[in-house]
Amino acid sequence: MDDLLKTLRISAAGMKAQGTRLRVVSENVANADSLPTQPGETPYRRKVVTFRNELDRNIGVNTVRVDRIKSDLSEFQRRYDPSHPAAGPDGYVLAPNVSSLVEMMDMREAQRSYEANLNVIKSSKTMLQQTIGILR
Amino acid sequence: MAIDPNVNIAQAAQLYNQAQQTGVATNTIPQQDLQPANQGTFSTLVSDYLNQATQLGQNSEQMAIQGAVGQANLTDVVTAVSEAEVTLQTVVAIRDKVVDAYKEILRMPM
Repeated sequence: MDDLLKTLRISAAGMKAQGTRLRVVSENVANADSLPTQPGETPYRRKVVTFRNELDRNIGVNTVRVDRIKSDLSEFQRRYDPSHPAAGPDGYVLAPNVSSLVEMMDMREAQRSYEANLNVIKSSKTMLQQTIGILR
Repeated sequence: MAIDPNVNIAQAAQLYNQAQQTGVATNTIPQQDLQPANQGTFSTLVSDYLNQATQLGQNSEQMAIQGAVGQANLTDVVTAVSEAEVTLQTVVAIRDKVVDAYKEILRMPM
């Protein structure tokens, strides 16, 4: 297979990985207010994506893939809300360890990385078509 | 994806090679092109390319169908389709070139 065609596959794998990352970010943002329903229960735990390189044996190149979607084990936030059904005796409720600022940054990073891969695809396709153009 | 051009171009390339061997068109072709080791390699190349294009075209159609049903990743569909597109463009460019050469030979005063 041609190197420029391999580039298409590699960049597509990168775009897929960034798509998964954006999905996880959206899960985190959507669940930012998922509080427990009873005292003693834990709220939603933030998830993080890890990437890993993988040898694509069909074409013999290193592509990227999502390794695992793991839980962020940092401490939960505490919110003072005595009227909440899950509030403890002190009036505090455990809230998810999701920070919207961090999620926004993660989203931007996924977006930029996706664009970078897209531009690689565009340029390799242009190079291929210009090469074919010599024949015409 | 039509398979008919496959046969025609391979035949055309074969005829072209035969013409080269029988000396019909030796006036325009330099002597070093008549090496016996290169016999039929061009037609093989063209038919190989066409087979590849057909295969990639089928692959891309399959992916597009899967994508329409919602079973395939959009990125996979786009990649498969652009691969098929690029290969088909290559084949078409080569075919045009072959047809041009063939016409050039036909226009030659016998």
